[in-house]
Amino acid sequence: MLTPTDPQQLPRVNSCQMGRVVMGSTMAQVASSALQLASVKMLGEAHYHFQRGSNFGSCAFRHIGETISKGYEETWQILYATTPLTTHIAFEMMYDSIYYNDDQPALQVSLKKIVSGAIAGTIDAGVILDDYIEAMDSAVGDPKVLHSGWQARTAPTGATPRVSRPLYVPVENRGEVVCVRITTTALAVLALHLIDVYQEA
Amino acid sequence: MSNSFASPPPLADPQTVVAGQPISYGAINSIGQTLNYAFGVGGITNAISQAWYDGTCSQSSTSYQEMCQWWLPQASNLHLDLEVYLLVRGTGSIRLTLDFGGSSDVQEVATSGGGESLYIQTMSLSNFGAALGSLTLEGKATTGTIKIASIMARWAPLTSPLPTSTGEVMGSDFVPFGIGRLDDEKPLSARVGYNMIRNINTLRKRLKTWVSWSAVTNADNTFTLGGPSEWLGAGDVFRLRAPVNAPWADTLLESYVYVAIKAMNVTSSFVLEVLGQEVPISANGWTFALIQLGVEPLDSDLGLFKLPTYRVGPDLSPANLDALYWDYVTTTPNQPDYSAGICGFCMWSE
Repeated sequence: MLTPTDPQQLPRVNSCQMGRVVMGSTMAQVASSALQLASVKMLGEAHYHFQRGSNFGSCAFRHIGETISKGYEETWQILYATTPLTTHIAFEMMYDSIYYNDDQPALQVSLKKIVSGAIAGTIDAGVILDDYIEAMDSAVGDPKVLHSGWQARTAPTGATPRVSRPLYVPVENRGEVVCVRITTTALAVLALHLIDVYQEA
Repeated sequence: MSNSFASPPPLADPQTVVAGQPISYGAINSIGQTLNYAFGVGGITNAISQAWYDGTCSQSSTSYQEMCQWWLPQASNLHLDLEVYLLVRGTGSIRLTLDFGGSSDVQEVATSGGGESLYIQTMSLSNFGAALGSLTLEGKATTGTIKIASIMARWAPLTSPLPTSTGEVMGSDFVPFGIGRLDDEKPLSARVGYNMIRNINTLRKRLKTWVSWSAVTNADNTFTLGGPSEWLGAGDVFRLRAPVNAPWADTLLESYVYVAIKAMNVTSSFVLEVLGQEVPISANGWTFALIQLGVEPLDSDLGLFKLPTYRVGPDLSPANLDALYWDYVTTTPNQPDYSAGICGFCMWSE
């Protein structure tokens, strides 16, 4: 089945009026548009701005106001509302990682479910990324960006991979709010963008 | 006659209804269910998303202090419940006020000490006085300090079957399908075709949140390990720009992007450049604008989400970064040394 990614032109309303022959193209246009709505437009997405500290009321020059000392670690729990059609969540992360303390910047992104109003068990152990991290020697400069890619593979098993990939949402958790957990070493997260991977129907 | 739908919906294959094929009830029924699903559940995702580094959104006052405010669009006039998810540490209370054109709800969330905990609060409206509304967050501590780590809000999805009443998305009507009427042995009436076209046009108007950012006001501010951001700084602008897909960009050229900007300390008019266009700001508080996408998809990001990707938000332009002196803050904390500051920025699109 072909899923158009952009909205298709709809048939004229009078093509559906009483006494008209219902043309195949009329119904195909309607079916394509319904498919595009459900499978493309109405995917889930979230755009998180991670507000860092500021010494003067705003982030003036530096992207991070805090001092990153040796062994620096941080943990984030980010909530994402999936849809029933969500299978994989692609992400883009903006970050600063600083290696002048001889730390090896690394991060893990995983997915947890919410049970009875609390963040509970892991549903995708996600990925550990270290070799893919770009490190800088100063907190001044453009932040770095990391993409998950959109290769929607089958449900992962086994050891947590060290190659970036979208997070997988099991069938039983689709449509629920889930928690994206990020833990880092020598790395400060600045923004996280989550978008359902578009799957051709 | 039930306005029911399966979730996820059965998707009609357009190739089963092209010329030369009999129009079977299966495809028509699937289109009806898909549209009912799309109205009730489709695209119901994060309407507000923001996170703060430890302590940069904190409150130690024992009386309520207004701290953050966002604007958000309705999902429809029948989605009346907004679920707000808060991750908070410390003992105190958070008061949330949801207001859509005078139709409002106020809820208080009591938080307890210890580690970071999740709090879920449902805000309920009886109707909508407007299609766009605001969510205001106030905080107070009982003892010590409460620290807010993140906020997320989404409209509660509707369950099957949909209500029998006509729905509305951004002022356009949606008539749910009685699925039984689309079943075997039923006529394919002119009304069905008319409603399918109208409903698709209506659902295309549902807004998705691209940017939701609020400054933090009246918060604790120690100026040691990082106080709150009280206005938008140059260091924020780069990371406020979100990668989004805009599937309509090539075909629905009349579509617009909605922008809401909150300003403070405005003494004379100025402009903020957004998506290559100037948004004039002449007063304190929220300014709203409809702008066109006005930017090209980024070559380097094409295919990032298997869809054309645009990077949206306030422009990284000299006018924004230099003329407003966002990056020249040298005087007394809590007071920007320029005439105006941006303390809220929200953006949505169809």
